[in-house]
Amino acid sequence: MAGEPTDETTHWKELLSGSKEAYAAIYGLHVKAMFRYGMSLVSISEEFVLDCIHDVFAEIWIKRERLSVPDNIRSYLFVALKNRILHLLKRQERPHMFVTQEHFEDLWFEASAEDILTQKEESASREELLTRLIGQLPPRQQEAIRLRFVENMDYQEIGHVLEVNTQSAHNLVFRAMEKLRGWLLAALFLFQYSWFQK
Amino acid sequence: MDSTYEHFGTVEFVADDRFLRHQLAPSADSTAFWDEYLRAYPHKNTEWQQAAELLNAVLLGLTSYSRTYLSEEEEARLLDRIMRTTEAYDAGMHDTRAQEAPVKPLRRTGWYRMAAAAVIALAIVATGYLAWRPETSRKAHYADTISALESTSHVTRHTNKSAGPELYYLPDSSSVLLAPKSEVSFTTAYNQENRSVYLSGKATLDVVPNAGKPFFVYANEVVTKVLGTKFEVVAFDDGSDVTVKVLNGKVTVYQNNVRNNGAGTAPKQSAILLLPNQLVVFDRKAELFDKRLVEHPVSLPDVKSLPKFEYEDSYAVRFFEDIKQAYGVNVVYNPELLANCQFSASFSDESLPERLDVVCKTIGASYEIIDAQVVITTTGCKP
Repeated sequence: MAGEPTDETTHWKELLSGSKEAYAAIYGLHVKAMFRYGMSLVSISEEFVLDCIHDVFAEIWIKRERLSVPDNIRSYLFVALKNRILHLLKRQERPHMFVTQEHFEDLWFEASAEDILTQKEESASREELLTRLIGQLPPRQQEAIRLRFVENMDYQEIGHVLEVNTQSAHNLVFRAMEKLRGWLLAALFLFQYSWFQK
Repeated sequence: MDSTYEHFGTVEFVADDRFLRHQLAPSADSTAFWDEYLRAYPHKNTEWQQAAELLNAVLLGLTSYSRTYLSEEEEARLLDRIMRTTEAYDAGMHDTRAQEAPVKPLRRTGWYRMAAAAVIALAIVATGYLAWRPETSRKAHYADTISALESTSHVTRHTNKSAGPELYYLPDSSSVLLAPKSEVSFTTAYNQENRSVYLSGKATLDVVPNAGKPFFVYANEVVTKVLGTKFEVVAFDDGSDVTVKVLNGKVTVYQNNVRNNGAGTAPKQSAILLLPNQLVVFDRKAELFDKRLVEHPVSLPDVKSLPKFEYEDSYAVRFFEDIKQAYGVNVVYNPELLANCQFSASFSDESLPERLDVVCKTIGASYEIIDAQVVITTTGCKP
């Protein structure tokens, strides 16, 4: 949705045939979003995310003769970054088992009116409250709405990054919006608009 | 007229591509389209408006994500590093043409463990949140705080197991004199944006002044923010009180009713400013602060002539001194940091907060009114 796909595709083709200028141009177009996305996956260390971005670009250069032009460069880079992050983390010995995605969503409990009241009381601003409410969504839904509303990806691209089909990507965003709307309406009933004035 | 949208509700609108594109970057076409739609289906107006509001709320809630910022320097440095890797690779290819396997970039290993812990945290968040719900436990115990921190970052813990007091140095050379059976800990984030330590037991802290990195001590339900230098905190898990005593400099003390993970700033409720020789006791049962010691009587000069409040390239210090004189309010600031701060302004009818606002904004400082005193926070001005 964003940018000029034709320019980008040209850059990518030039990169594949060995142009360092095109390579740097692709980097410049995407590195900020990749950093943002990487930090949202592993917020613990900027160093780690930067290392992973380095690896993604190094690998593209090394494998360039075997690569084709992806349908969407942004989501291609996001997927590559996510894979790199997960790969490096999996190499570590971990006594903990990952909870599977499905079970993970089940563990998420519904925020009650009381929870929202607590969130409201502890939030200094409307932005903070909304950040907290979004933080209560299941992680996959959070990821989906970041890609949708900040990265401006369409459902196909979101599906690509989250490894689900387009319909499921749409459902993730839809369910997130339903929940947030419900919480915001509950907040309105509870506080009679007072929080909007903060 | 397109009937796709005939039965759309608020959430359907927000999830729709066409709606989103129009909200984020309206064009003449999209405006015409939605105007026509709302004329054709006027009963959809409310839902359409609510969808726009919901979208704005979501965007506001995602600000911290969208603001995650990679600096230009960092971006350039990383590009440089990538280019060096590719050059090394290209050079390697020319030297040994037969070499097939891609070059494995040299790696450091230090952060692996930390990062692994971070992703484990992603999995733990769900269960962790259940335990985190404020109503289940209002008391902020040290052990809970530490286990919460350990789920997201590496925590360095130091316990004094000896019979006498022990001097322990933090990474920035601030020191902690730990009483027996007391423990101090901090995360890898220490000394980045701020300096947060977590304390169980009794300690006297001697803090290296650094206005850019405020120093916080989390001790059970009490947070102490350091403005000056030397103070003592007593907070045993099984004790009924938490006490903070200032030996030198100034600190502010807050109730830690927001479970702080160390990254945020201290909550502002129940803030108490402590000056040398003052002591505050936090009653854990009643959740009340009690400033028990006699305050130093602040002898104000007799207000014989009111300051004019007219300044031309004047020093900010003079303004704060005028405030003290005119309002009889104590203003707490670090004169060394304000040494180069100058401004021009003239006041007549403005209130005290208005005057403080103007001057603080001009010199890039901020102020808080704590315990009936004005506390100026600044990183100083360039000469």
